[in-house]
Amino acid sequence: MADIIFYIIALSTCLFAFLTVASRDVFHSAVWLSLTLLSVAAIYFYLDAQFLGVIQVLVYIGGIITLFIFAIKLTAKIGDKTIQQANEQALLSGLAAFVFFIILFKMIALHPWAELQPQAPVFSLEDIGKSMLTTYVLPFEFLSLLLLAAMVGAIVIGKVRK
Amino acid sequence: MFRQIKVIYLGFISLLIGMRVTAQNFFAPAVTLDYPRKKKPMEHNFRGMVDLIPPDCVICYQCIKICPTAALFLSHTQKVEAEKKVKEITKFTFNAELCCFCGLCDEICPTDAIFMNKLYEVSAFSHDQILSIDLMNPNKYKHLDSNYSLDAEINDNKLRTVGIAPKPAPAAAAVAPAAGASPANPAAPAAPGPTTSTATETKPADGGPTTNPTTENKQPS
Amino acid sequence: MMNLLIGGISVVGFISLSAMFLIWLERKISAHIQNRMGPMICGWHGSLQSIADSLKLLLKENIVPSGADKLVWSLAPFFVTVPVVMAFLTVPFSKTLIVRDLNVGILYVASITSICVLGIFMAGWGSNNKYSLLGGMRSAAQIISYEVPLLLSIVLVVMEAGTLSMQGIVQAQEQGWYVLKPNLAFAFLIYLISSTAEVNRVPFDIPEAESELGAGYHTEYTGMKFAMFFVAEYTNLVVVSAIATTLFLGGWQGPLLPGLFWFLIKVYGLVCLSMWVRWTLPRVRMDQMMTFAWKVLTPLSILNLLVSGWWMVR
Repeated sequence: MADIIFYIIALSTCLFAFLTVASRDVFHSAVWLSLTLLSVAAIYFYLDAQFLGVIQVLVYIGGIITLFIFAIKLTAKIGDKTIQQANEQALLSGLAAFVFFIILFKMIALHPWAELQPQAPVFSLEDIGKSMLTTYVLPFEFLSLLLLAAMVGAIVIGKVRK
Repeated sequence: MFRQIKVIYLGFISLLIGMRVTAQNFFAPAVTLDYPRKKKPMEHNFRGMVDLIPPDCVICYQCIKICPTAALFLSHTQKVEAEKKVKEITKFTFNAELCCFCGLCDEICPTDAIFMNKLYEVSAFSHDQILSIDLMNPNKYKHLDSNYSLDAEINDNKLRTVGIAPKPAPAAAAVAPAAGASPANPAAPAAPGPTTSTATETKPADGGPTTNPTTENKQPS
Repeated sequence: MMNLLIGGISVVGFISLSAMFLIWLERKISAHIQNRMGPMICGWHGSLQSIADSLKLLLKENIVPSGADKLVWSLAPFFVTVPVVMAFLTVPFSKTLIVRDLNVGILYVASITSICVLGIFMAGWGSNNKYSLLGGMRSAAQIISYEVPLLLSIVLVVMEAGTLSMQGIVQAQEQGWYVLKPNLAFAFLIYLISSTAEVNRVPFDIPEAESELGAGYHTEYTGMKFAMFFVAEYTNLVVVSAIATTLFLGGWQGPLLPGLFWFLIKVYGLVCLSMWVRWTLPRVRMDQMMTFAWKVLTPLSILNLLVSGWWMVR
């Protein structure tokens, strides 16, 4: 029963990822991308990594996809042209991709992976919070500084020049 | 800075005041009526559809002559009954499409046989129902309003006649019944309805020749 | 497994009934505030009016605008409705009635409702209509602006409770509801204002204003798709009221009646409050709304956070 859910989620991820790269319109690609990321969040939830799933939705879909869509639709250049899907080398590159897929599949399927315990070790939320502010406080502060620099840069770049 | 804080504070207080007003209005009674179930009665001089009291009509043709749009049609015959000539209405129809609801037929009728009732829900499903309404039929408006009853409308009309101001209390008025009231309704009443306190009817005290009520009422009292 | 299924189905049933009830309630409350009577004909005082309206919406013709981007236009109602329904996953209806008590409950709700922005923008863009586009863009800007004070006031509650899980927050209010503490009362106020802006309700309903912009981003939707937007709006209102109840008003706690009754009373009390404010205030202009979010609410909530944090560790 649980397996079927995983297959459905995995299938939807692959399907939406394929549609992302196969759309001719950039806006459609962004929409399919958001659904792909939602499926990835579903995988995280399936693996009981709830915090990670929630952060995935909040940051990726709530932030990054919104940014994509604003960038596509509110700037005149990106959204206008349709993307050319295939050029004259389509068949050859498709064959190369298929061969690559076969190699990867054989490698992954034939590798003796170690069986994980049925219950993966669960890190509680408090541990994540504590480690962010004790062990990893330097990257944490540095990241916030980076975000500040990015925001200031965005404002400077986007300012209307008199 | 402080001005901004004050602005925000005032905004919040104004929200609370507004909410109090809204809450007061929430508990106040509604000013609209639940229309199909509750209907408001019309004013005393409301001109609805044209209606007829067949026994009172003296077939004088005044209403036909005065109707500005020729909406009324009357035809009569003469018969001999007990050695007297008796006139009888054969057809008295009313075209509601042509009628402009002016009320002149009501005002000029000497016996107040034709009058305007208080019916205002007058939609019909087809033209045939309103092109020639038979005024002799007591159920003429049943298809428009199933609560229609000729007697109720006659009763309404006794108190409130188009073109006639309602009478003051009987103790105050030593005058004879108002001009235009039919001799068949001797009790032209002291109307308890909404008195407009404009013209009171002037009337020759000894019931002279019935005068035209419209011109009568325009004379200063 | 079976529990989850039953929980999910009952939540969906609750949402449908609740949306229909709320539509009727809104019409009645607005009518009485305006000294009139509202729907009176279908059922006792118009209580079956919602069912009649739903039937009518089902039977309406499904018109697709000619220049519309069909994929985006058709998907938009789902992007708006599904996240709102998903947010009910962690709402604690009573001590035992919760679909799944995730240990990141409140963060989950905040993240899921941020998907609505996408749906609204898609609706606005896909309709190929200037009014819809304007409405969609304004709404997207409004929602992402008001998410900041919303999340900051939620953070204050989480700081106070020490846990992100919804049942945990309700349990932490056993000594006293959070709305009785001054800093959290202020956060409650900020939460109420931000959540009104999140669900596009007056005074912040520029995007779907009925008398400007046609009908905003859902102009071009008819029939069932419009019904989905409509239901999504009222369900969103119930969601934010449910979150407010859980975070600030003590959830399902109450003296005599079972928890579910208290929860529903509180939620519908907040919903009625929202409707009361709706019919009191005029609409706020777009620039006033953005000014208010960034220059008033965000600094105030950050200040609140600082003061509360200092008070907690002093």
